[in-house]
Amino acid sequence: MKPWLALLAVLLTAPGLTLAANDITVHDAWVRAAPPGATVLAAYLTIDNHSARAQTLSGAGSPQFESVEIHRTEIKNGVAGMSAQPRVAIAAHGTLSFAPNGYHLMLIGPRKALHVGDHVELRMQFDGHPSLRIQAPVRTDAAPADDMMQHHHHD
Amino acid sequence: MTQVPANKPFAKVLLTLASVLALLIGLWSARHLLQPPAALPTLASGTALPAPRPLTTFTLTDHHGQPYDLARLKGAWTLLFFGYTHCPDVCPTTLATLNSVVKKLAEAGPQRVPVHVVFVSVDPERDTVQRLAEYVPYFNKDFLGVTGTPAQLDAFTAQLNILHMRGSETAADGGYTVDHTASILLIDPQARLSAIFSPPHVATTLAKDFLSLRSYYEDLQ
Repeated sequence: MKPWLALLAVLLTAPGLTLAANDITVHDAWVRAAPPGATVLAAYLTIDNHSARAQTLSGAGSPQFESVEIHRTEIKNGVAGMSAQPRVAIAAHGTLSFAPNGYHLMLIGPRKALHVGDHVELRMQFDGHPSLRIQAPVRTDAAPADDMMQHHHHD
Repeated sequence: MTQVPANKPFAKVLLTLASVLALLIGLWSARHLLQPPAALPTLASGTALPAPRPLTTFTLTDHHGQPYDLARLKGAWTLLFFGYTHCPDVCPTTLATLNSVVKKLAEAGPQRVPVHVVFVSVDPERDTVQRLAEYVPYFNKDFLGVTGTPAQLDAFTAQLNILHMRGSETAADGGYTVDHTASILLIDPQARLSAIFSPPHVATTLAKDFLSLRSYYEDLQ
């Protein structure tokens, strides 16, 4: 191996140097299962910013959908409205949850129907970082705690 | 007239006990026979109307293509939610929550009066009968989707103070969003608006509120 390649390998794997991996983590991603023929679905997830500066989510995509937009639902005086958010900031050392009735990734135009148990590949673009790939399972609901309680109830 | 001999302590004790017992029976009867009607329950997830408001006649179409009108609301409790099938977040979230609610109600005991869940489209341009037939039963086979002409839907939503308006365009699919009231309305078996549940909806709270409201009205009968 050429010395500069070895150096590059060390630099890339050293803690604190692989920016995307260490500054930002995305976890607990899931996609709500939708009825057949649904043209839009929603993905939910949690973004942790481990860095000392604000990070910006500036886009998202998925090979399984025609396009993905960042949206936010806001309920004002009981009326739910939804708007596209081209850029979303995550404060230094902050966490931002994409959850039902709030921020979500709007998945538009599925290339093929998705079923519970399938996975959706999401590519998230944060400014100044290589795109982050995550897998989001398709589920009927967010509430695993609730499901478990019900299972115990039936046992 | 009989007199209790003062020199017989046993009889005195017996008489005292009898008096106390009589008092307790009296208090118990008063409590159970003269009890004032229970107060309208305070809901954790919304507001119960002190005087349920009767709905007026309307004409819509359900996802089987059958007429859906005032008569369909009578004889059942109905949970009404308004939305549109191109809605990725609030509508599927609420329908999934309502599915949890009806499961919890079924677990709570047998229902003398059925509980119906009805999803009313506020996007008649895109939500055809066929589209609703694909969409609504996915969340629960017993849920009913309802739509109508824009004029029919406006007449229905207006009497229930449900707002809906075209929202922003979605860039990619040439589609649009619809802003809409996200409350769940409870219609009683006499087709009267009985309660309004406010978003965000939580299945456990909603089920509990429904049960307390239902038992309040059953006790009144």
